[in-house]
Amino acid sequence: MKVFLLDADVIIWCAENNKLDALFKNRSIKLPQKIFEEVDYKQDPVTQEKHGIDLRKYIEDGCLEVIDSVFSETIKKVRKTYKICPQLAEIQDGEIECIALLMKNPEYKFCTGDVPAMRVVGFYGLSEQAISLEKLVGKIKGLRDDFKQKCMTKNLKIGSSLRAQYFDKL
Amino acid sequence: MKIGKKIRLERKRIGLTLEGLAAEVGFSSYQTLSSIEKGKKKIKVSELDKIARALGLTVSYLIGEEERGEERVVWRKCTDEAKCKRYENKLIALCKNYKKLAELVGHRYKKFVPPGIEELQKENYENDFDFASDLAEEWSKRLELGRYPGNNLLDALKQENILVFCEDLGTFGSAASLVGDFGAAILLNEKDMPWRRTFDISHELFHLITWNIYSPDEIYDDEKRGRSNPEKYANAFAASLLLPEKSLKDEIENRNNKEALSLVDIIEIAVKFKVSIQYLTWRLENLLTFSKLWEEMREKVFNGLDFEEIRKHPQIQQLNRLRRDEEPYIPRLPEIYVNQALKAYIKGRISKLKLADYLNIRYVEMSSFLHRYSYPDIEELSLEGLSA
Repeated sequence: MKVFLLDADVIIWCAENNKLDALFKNRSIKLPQKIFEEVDYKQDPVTQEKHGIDLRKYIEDGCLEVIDSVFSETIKKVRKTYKICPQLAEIQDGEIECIALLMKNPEYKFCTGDVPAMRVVGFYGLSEQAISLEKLVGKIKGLRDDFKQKCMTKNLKIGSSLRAQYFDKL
Repeated sequence: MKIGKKIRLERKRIGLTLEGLAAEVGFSSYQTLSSIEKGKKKIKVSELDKIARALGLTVSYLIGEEERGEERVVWRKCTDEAKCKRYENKLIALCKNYKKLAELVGHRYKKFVPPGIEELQKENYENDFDFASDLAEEWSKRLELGRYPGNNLLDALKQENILVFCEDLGTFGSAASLVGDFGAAILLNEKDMPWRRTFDISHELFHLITWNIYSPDEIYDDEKRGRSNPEKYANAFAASLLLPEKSLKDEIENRNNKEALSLVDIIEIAVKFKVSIQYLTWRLENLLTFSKLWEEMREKVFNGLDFEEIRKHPQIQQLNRLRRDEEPYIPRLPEIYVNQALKAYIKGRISKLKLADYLNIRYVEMSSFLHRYSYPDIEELSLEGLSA
């Protein structure tokens, strides 16, 4: 069974657009604790009002599991990626954990709308384990470009080509 | 050094007990933390993150990606050493971030370097108050602070790459200054009144300029030891910088020539110079003592009260409090820091989630945060570095 790892931007966008059910239902999703804590509320950009994002029901339904990885050498390695390859960006700790999890678990797939994270996935030769939100939940009206498959494919490719360039440093 | 050992070292450095840190991080028992510190239990990603935050440090530092530099922090008032140390760590981490972000975008900024002892020529002065006063005049010109310096001070420090951070320091700490390989920074207490913060900036600026003259041990202001001399010089510097003798006298005389000065004039002048009414009165007393004008002012404006009585007068204190809402607030992070982080994002050197980390906010707060700094939403910012 496929296991999906989600980035914070994916959950927040789905929460803001009432698509959480479409995202979680009938799937096996794992969220690193760091990302889970990042997405406990959304905020109205105009009124700045905070509205809670309640993911407990998905945990109770067995669709969502919050995980907390041991800080490992693999994580240390992914953290340094932007130093090894200056064309890549520094990414957040939750994303780093997801990419380290992909390396150890070939059945895992990572869904993100964060372009730099997509490139790092490609850089480590993990393109097959990346999935766009569009591909995961189907076409949705008003979906941001960075959640579309086109964006994912393009940036995984950029990461892959950088991999070839920096292969000796990996 | 192993992660656990480093955590233990840093915890002890800021005077936190095992139980104290464990409770802050949310461990059900301090044994968990004890095992991590001893290397008996492997640390988890979220635990590492929480411990780093509680200590005011970065994960990068705890895992050995970054080293501690030769940073030195000087506090004005600190009644809780553990809390101050934690803010010191946080301040140092933010300043190091600034340097790192600049390096990521290839921006070679001109760091503020405290002038050398020879450059300051303090030996030419018989007393340090005159030195502080002349230094204020010199720096007012250098920073182009103009007639009403308090209004331009924060912007002028940006030009010098002096980072001005603001934190809720409660009642345990007043302002602090810091110098390191990234340049210089000032930390203010956001709980202080706005004019107090203007004063604090100028006071701390004195410490940054005279960094190589007075040692940290010489700088204190507490109940036990009282106020040290360098602190008094810093106050004299701040007075001369914010309320320059000529500008202030011109202001008073111009108004007095039209009609007799009133309390309204004093309030207006304080607002114009961005200082408190008490501070203005103190400066006026210093500049105008024994003059006819001061005696007239005391009689007509303050009903014959002397400075101490004016300072403590409930009506004057109330007037200052009323002004609080009118003054613009100083953001927690300096604009030059936020700009640097945004440049790193736009150039594709950090991800948008990492940007939130650097800005010390949650990703969901990004829009409102950027709006406060007059930026559009993150998605609207051009991603030129990512479009290749």
